[in-house]
Amino acid sequence: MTVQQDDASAASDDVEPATGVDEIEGEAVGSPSGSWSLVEELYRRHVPDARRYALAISGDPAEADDVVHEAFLRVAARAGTLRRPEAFGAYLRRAVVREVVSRRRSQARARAREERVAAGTPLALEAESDLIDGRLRRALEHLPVRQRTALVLRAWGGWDDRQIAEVLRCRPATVRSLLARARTAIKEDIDDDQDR
Amino acid sequence: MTTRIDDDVRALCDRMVAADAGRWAEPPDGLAEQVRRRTARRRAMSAAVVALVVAGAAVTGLALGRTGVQRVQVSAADGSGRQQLRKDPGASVLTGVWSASGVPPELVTFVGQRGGVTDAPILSAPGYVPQEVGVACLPLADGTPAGPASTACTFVVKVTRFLPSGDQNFERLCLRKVGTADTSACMSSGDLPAVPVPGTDDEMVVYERDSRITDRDVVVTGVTPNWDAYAVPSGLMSWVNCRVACGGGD
Repeated sequence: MTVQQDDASAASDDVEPATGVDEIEGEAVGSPSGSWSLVEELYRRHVPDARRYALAISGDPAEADDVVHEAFLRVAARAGTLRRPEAFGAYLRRAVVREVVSRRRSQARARAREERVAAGTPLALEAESDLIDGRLRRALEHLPVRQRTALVLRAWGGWDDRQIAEVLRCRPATVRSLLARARTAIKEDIDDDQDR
Repeated sequence: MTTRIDDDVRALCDRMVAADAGRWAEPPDGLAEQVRRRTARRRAMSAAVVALVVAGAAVTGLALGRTGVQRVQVSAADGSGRQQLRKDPGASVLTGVWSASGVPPELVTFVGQRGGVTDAPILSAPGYVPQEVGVACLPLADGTPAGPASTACTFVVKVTRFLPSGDQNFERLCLRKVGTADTSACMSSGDLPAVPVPGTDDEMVVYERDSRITDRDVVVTGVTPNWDAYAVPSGLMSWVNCRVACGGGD
């Protein structure tokens, strides 16, 4: 499985308009001349990769749908002010990761998830594939979202500490701590599961 | 164990995305229109923030004049969007345009700069208190505010108090999920049908969720059917503590 990680650090905070991207903005936001096709091209080119990230981190296909759609709209709507418009994919990837984290951290969602777990209701993904290791998946589900995100970005995405720190808006040392805690928690969770 | 866990996580994620392959390969219908609307909304928000900062800088500029400060550095609380505003020679009020967007007013910070000394923190967050604007949610005339969460959700927001300045432009109406900071469902005035109320200075704004906000913009099905609404008159933001029942589950 190839995971794109190039330019992951390029999409830093980007409120400053980039010089010379007016033509990009003109295309991205549409015009009577039919340049809306650029939006669809951006979609085809970058959404599949972004969706893989959303799914890997959230573990929930339905949530991944919402996350990717919202992130794409958000990034596409400001294509004209991206510091590096050519790094649209990196911006989108970061937006997806942050959207997952943001959603998971909201109290309402967390409460709903706790209720589902408490009730023993299988999460959306559970019924989808027998291929997936149930114990590991459950252990991942039990992790706080920042730990889970850091671990998935490292183990699956191949991101380094600095890249993960940037998207999680923390220090690299914090990332190392998140990773260590995540691995320990998963090990303990799986061991507990095996003991039952 | 570390390597083993990482390997297992990698394999698990590979299987998940492999099982999901092929989905979302093509853009959904209406994507370009949704991007266009989001772009317009974002621009409206940018304009609102500019108005806010100009107003905020005007407030602080009066005080800064007594301290000899000629410039104000404005940024979001996290330091992003940092920009310097300079007072015109002889002017008693500092005004300017801040280009950052989407930053709530309570997160805007001001740092004054005097003479050749930069970043002298003589004024810090919030440095500016948004003027209060009253809004209230009212039940629908027929007394049935609730409907199926996945279909129409119509409610009424009444502007009950305007700015002391007399500026009564009602620029945006936003919805957010109760208990969250999701403000993605804002609409600019051009999209809002404002109806003057006879005999008053108020406006009644009727907002039909299903026709203004798609389910893709904000998902309301499931967890909570409640929404908070807030109004943004002239770039100033005021959350209202009214909840709109939007769905049969509440």
